[in-house]
Amino acid sequence: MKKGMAILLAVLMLSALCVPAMAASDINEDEQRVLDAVSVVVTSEEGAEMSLYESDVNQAKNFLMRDEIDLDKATADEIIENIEECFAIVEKAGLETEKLTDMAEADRKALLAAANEAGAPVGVTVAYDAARNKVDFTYDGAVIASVDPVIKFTGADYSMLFVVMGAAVLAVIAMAVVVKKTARAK
Amino acid sequence: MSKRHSIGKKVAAYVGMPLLFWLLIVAVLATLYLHFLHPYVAPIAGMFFTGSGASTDSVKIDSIYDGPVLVHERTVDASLVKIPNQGTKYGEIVCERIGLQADLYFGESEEILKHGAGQSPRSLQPGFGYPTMISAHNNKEFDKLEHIQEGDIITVYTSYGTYEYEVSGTEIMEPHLFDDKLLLEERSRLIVYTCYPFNNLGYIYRRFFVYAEQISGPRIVFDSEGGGE
Repeated sequence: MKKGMAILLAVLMLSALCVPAMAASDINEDEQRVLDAVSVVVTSEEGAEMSLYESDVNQAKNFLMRDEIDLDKATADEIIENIEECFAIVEKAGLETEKLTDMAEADRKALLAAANEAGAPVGVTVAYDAARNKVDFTYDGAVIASVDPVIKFTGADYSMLFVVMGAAVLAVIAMAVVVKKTARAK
Repeated sequence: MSKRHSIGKKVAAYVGMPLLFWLLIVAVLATLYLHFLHPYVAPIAGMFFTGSGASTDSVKIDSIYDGPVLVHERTVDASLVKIPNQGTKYGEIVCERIGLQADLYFGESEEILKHGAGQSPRSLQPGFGYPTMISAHNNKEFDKLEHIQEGDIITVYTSYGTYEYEVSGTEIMEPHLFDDKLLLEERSRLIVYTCYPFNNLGYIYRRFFVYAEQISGPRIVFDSEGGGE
């Protein structure tokens, strides 16, 4: 079960079509229907199963609990309809992968374009960084959700130190060679 | 003495020897760091060697936290609770016995973890009745986690309440083995993790998880629940 593309689709539609409204921070019935909709597992024609991480629903929940977000029935219906449509596109594409990068470029571009178009009315933008294979969903200038691993890397990375030390070692060796050669020349 | 030889000696004296000494110093410090100085040097080292290198995060770092609030009531109205943007500091995480203290941000991108501990957006803030998952670097904020024991108290301070959790256990595993369904359980608990082993210069592929159960702190209630108990 997984991930990238399904998350992109679901969270995108979820966040893009939310309508700013009066304060309400609880999850109402319509919002719950949307959360249920993003939790589905899609099976492509080739038999590949795709779904969100189980916990990705919490990313959506955190967004829906914001004071300024309150979905009514019509909006929720529209979101759910679009979620289903997006999943249909993925099914048709026959993705057998969990990585967004493995999607055909044309399909990916079309999907991202559609995503940004859908998000534009409420200021949601979707940015995909191929180098990091990460998708960020931004609302009102802030990241509201990301497509990335659940458990992060939280260790020290000394690779830059090793690179510098390696370069220094090479430099010292070079110095030694130069000194030795000049000594011989003498 | 030939001019060429003189240049060679100068190069060796002004470049080669300093480099050589620098390498020796780094080697000695690295050895001392790993075996003796880690608890003291980690906060400084963490300023320079955290994350996975250059970050292109576009997360804005800010704060809505003005200090801990002691709420004596058993509930707190949801209207007082803000859902922060990713990159927003909304509290602190503390474990006094082991000397752990870290600013708590919402989100856990590379950029956020450079500033402190981060709450996974795949979990909920304390008080909602679901797990809260927090991570931080093992050479900085969470370097002291290696000393944590069952029964230790971890406190999460927020601007809407203070939450205490009692450590119930720890676990070491590879990241992909973590069952994220745990984050959907209706259970007020804290899941804290960092990279493992703690003192390791090589590739780190495991995580050290700490599980703690909530023992105090106000429950967040919505209008639809009738406003409290």
